[in-house]
Amino acid sequence: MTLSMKIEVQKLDTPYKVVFNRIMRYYGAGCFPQDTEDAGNRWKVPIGVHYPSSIVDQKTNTERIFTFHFNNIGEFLLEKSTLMVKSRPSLKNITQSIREKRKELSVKVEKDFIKIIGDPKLKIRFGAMKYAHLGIQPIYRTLTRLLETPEKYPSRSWVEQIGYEDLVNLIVDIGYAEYSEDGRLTPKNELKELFTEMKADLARTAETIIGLVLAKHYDYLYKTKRIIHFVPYVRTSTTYYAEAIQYGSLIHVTENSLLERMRKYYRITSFPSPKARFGYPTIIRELLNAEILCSKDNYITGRDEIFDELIHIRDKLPMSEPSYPA
Amino acid sequence: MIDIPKKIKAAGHNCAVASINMVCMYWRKTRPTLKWSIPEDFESSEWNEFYQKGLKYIKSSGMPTDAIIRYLKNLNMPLKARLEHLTGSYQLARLLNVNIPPIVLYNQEYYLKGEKGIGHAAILIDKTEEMFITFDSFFYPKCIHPISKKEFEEAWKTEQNSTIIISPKSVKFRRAEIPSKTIDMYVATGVTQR
Repeated sequence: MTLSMKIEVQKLDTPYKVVFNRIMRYYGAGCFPQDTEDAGNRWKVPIGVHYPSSIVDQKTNTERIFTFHFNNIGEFLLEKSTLMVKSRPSLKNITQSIREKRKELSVKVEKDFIKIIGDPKLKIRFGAMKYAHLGIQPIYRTLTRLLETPEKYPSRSWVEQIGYEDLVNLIVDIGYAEYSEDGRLTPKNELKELFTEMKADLARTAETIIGLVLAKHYDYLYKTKRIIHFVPYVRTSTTYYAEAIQYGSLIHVTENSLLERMRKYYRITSFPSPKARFGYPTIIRELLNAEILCSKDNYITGRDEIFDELIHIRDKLPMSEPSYPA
Repeated sequence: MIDIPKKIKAAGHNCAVASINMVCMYWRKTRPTLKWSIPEDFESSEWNEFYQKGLKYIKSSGMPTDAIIRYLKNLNMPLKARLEHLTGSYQLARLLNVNIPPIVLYNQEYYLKGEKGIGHAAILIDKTEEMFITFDSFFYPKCIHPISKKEFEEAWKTEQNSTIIISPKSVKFRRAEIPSKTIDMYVATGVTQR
């Protein structure tokens, strides 16, 4: 049976319509044309994207869909006289731009998160993160020397000789140690006071210093010094809190789904590496012991104090949530 | 009312793939004599595979309609897909009158809150004087979801009245392009914005 019918369609006779049509054809309904700009003998039409993101609280099985809005992820150039498309971004470029915008956001959340967990008042037990210790042993060892053997303050030459200077300088930079005139590394009053405040508990004092160092120098440790041992902890917990911030309250997730979400959030398909995969439950356990994450009714959840410090980020996220009728 | 034989749950960019699948199922059921290479059992693995293949076409920017056309072509469906920017909702009514369920892309956030957001795909299955009845994967398991015609028209307009029409290859469409510019506008500027 053949059916023939007439349909009336809009002629693509404005730059906006031409670009809209091409966007739908090449990229999809997530993208949209922004306002047309006059660029001499061409029209310039920048494009933006709406990017959906779903967050599920697995305990209540509630799913909420949020939409991120990113502008200027690419642009079309149209010949003014003919409205022919002279240049447009490839789908690959668009996908890349969206990834970059998302990465900017995750980096921002990650930075805020690290700053907050480094705050001494949260009393994060960094000592519980055993694997993370590997890269920052020099900080622990130096603090031990400064606090336990005051008669043997390390000399600058000792520090340099064993290659500790870069990390030791971080303790100096945050204002808890200094080199005396005779070239010995000495604790500043702030460190002594902190030690007293911690009831001479070296482990707790070191945890506080580690937190402060991380808060200020995480990028340096990770990117410059390539000390990557904190990365799985930071990424796992940032993923959790980033989703909770989006959701607007602490959520409940399973260990496996948190791993999946982290892979998505950071766009890393092989995280942790196949070798380290068996270590992932340990990372989770250590994050729970460090009191960065919590466990409730067999689900992973967050800590109110950390969440409360982070929730302000929500207002800055380029995000909306359609309120669907029940 | 057009009877869509299976409900598929979807959210985010998956709504387009779910809608396309459901419309294909509709055609599979109502036009069994076409050259189908997929069974009528919508629970079969072939349909699941069809849906999963569709999901692969989704990009972070959405699902490009050129990809939808390729998708149906590659799967040897006896159907043809096209993206059209219709002139008004009476065109949708005409499609419904001949039992072609159009997939409308409208701005759901604009519909709900008057703010521009992401484009959403839903199937139109019926109309009344004041409402369109959609078959919307987002509202699974209910799926049948009435929307106000007037507000829908505005939300659909923000997406340039974009409509995906999937129909058997035997259905021929004669397209009449209606310019958006009036004669006065042509005389005054030649080319206009928006």
